[in-house]
Amino acid sequence: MKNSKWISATLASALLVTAGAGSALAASAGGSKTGTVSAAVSGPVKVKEGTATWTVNGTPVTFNTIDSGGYKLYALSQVAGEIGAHVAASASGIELNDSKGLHTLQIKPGSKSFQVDGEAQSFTIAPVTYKNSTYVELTKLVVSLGGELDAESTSILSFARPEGLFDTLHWAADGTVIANHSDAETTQLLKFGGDQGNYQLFSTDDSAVDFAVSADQRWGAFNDETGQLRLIDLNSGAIKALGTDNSVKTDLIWSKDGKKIYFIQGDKQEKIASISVESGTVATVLADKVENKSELRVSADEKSVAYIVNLTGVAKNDADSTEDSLTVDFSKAGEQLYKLDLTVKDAKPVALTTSADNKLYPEILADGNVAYLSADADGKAANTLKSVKADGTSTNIALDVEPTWVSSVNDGLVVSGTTADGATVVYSINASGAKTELYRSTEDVSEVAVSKDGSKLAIISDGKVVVIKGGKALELTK
Amino acid sequence: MKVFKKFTVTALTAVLAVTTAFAGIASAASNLSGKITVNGSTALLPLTLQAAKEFQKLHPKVKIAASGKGSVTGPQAVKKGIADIGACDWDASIDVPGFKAFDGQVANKVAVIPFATIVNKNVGVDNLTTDQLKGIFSGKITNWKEVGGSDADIVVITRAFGSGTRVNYQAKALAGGDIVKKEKNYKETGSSGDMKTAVATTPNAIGYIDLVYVSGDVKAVKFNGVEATTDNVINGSYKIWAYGYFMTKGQPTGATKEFIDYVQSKKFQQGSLKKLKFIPIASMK
Repeated sequence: MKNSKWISATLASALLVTAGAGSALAASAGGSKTGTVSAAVSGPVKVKEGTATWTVNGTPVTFNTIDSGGYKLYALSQVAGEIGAHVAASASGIELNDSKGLHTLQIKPGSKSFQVDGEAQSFTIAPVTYKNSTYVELTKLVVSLGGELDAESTSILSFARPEGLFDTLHWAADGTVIANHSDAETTQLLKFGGDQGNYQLFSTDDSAVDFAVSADQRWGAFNDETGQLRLIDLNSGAIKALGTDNSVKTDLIWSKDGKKIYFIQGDKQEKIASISVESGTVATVLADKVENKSELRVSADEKSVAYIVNLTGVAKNDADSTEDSLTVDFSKAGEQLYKLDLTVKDAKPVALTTSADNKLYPEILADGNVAYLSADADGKAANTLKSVKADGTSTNIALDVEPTWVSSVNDGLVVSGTTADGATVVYSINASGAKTELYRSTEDVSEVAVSKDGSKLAIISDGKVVVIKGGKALELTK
Repeated sequence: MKVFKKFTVTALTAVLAVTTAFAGIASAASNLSGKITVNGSTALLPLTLQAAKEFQKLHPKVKIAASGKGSVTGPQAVKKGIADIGACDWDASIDVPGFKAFDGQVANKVAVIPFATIVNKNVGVDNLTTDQLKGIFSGKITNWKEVGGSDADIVVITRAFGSGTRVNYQAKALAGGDIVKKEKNYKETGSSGDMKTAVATTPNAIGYIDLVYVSGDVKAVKFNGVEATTDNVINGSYKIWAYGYFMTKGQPTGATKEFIDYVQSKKFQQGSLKKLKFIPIASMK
C-alpha cells in the first residue's frame, strides 16, 4: 500500500501541536481557518484547519483536517463513523472497534504509540486534540481498523480486499460471486458481494473448491474423495450428502429443471449416469463399456447428451513384457465427440467426429448441433469454433478472434477469445449467429462467469476477481 | 495500486438472457504447443487423461496422447524414444526386485496409489496377515479353511510380470515374497480392469488391485487387521501403497515439463486427483 502523497507533503504554515487527551467523541471542528489549542505540555499553538475529500466505499465524503508538522491529520470520529467503526473513551485514551469486531485500536492523544489488537504500533505524528476533537494520521487509522486506502485515487474501503491469487469462479443466485483463494495455505472459498471489501468466508471444504452450479444458481454439486456426492447451498455454504453412491464421478452437470445431476461414472469413466436430487437414486444412462468419457453435456430438454471420448494409443508387447517387443501406436489417440439420443430406448452413441484436432468445450446448441472449440494438434493453425451436425458435417462459426473458451447460454453461446493484438474479447452469439461484444480488455483473462440474469459478468484477471459494474471493472481482490 | 482498471466494457444486453449459469476457464491465448505421449501404468491412466483434459484447457494446442500397458512399459517406452512420459507405479530410476534401473531417467512423483487385497464376494474371510498372503500367493496355502474360511480351493488371480501393481504388492503385501505360477486355480491378467472382473466373477478368488478400483462387486480384506482406506494410508497404519511416477528421459522440458508441473500442482492434486481416489503426494509426511 502506498502512502498518501499529501500526508507526507510539507506545509510550511503548519504548527505542530501535541495535546493531552480531550474529548474524542466531540463533533469535529469547523468554522475558523486557524485556531489555537491548549497543549498540556507545549502551551497554546496555532493550527491550520482544512478539508479533504475522499470516496468511502465509493461515496464522496469530505473530512475535516488539520495540518500538523507537515502532515495532514484527520478528524478521528468522522473517519471512524464513515467506515463504520465504533469509538469510545477508555481509561488510557480512545478505543476504536471495527464493525465486524475483528480489530481493536487503543489510541492516546499526544502519544505516537498506539495498539492494534494488543500489539504496539507507532504513528509518525502523534494524534492531536483540537477543539475537542482528536485528529490522527488517516492511513494508519484506516488500515489498522482493517480498511484499505489508496492515495492515488483518494479512495477508502471500510474493509480491505483479500489479497492473492484466485480461481474457480461462480455466481450465486443472491448476486454474489464465489471464488477459490488458490494460494492460501488452506482451502478458502470466499463469497463476494458486489462492493469492494464486502466478502466473507464461504467454505473451507477441500472437496468443494469446484462444483457444478444448478440452473437457478442456488446449489452447487460436487463429490468428495470417497465418491460421495454433496450439495452446497450457495447462499449459506451448508453442505449435505446426496444419495449414498461412492463410485468415481466426474463432469457433474445439472438438468435445467434442477431435478437431476448427470455425470460420468466409473473408475475408468466408462458410464454415464444421473442421480435424482430428490431421492438420491442413481440411474444408468449409458453403459457401453467405452472408457475415458468426459465433458458431458445435456440438452436443455434432456433429450440428448453429448460427450468426448478420449481414445488411447495402442501398446503391444509379448508375454514377458520385453523391451524389444514393445510398440505403441498413438495414431488414433485423441478426443472424439459423441452424441446419444435419450428418447430412443437402447440407442447407440453416434460419433460426430473422427478428426485429429483437439476438441474442447462441447456444447449442444438449440438446433441439435454440437459446437466445440477445435485446436490444431500441431499447434500451427489458430483455434476455431466449429458446429457439427448429427451426420458429422461441420462448419466454422465465424469470429474475428481466436477462441479460447466457449460455453452455452440459453440457445446461444458465449465465447472468449483473443484478438490479433492480444486483447481479450467476450462475445455472445445468439441462435441466429448474431454476435454481441460483451467485454474487451487488454488484461489477461483466465476465467469468465455470468450471473443468472445475465446482467453481470465476472472474470479472473491476472489472478484477481473482477466484476464488471457500471461500465467499470471493479477489482474485488488485490 | 489502481482500484479501477481501464477496461472497456460493452454494456451487457438482453442478448445475454442467461438462465443457465456458466463459468469456465479461458486459456488466455496460450502459445504453448507440442505433442506429449504417455505410456505405461494402467492404474495411472485415468489420472493422466483427466490431467490432460484440464491441461489442454489451459493450452489448447498441446496434444496429449496416452496409452496403458503395465508399468514396466512406461520406462521402456521412454528408453526407446516412443513416449515422452513413462507412467510407472515404482521409481524406475533405481533397481527394484525383478527390474533393473533405467539409467538416465528421472522419476517425477505424481500420486500416491493405495492397493488392496480383494476377494470374491463368496469368500468369508475379512482379514489376512502378511504370512497368510505369502502362503496363498506362493501356493503353500491352497484352501480357504487354512485361513479361517470355508472349505474351498483358493483361486489366485495375479497381474502379469511387468505390472507395477504386482511389483508393489509383492514388495509391500508379501514382504518381498514370490507369486508362484500354479497348474490350476491360477490366472494372470493384463490390466486392473481385467483383475477386478476376474475376481468378481470367479468364486473363491483372491487378487489385488488399486484401491480406486474396489467397488461393490468385489470385497476388500483387511491387511494385518487394518482396513484399506486412504485415511489409513495417510496415517501410516496401512502399508500397501506406492508412489506413482512419470518417468522422463532426463529432466523434463517444454510442454512435457509444463504438463508434469500441472499434475503436481496443488490445484490438480487437491482437486481432480483426489476425486479419482488417488492420494496427493503432499499428504505423505
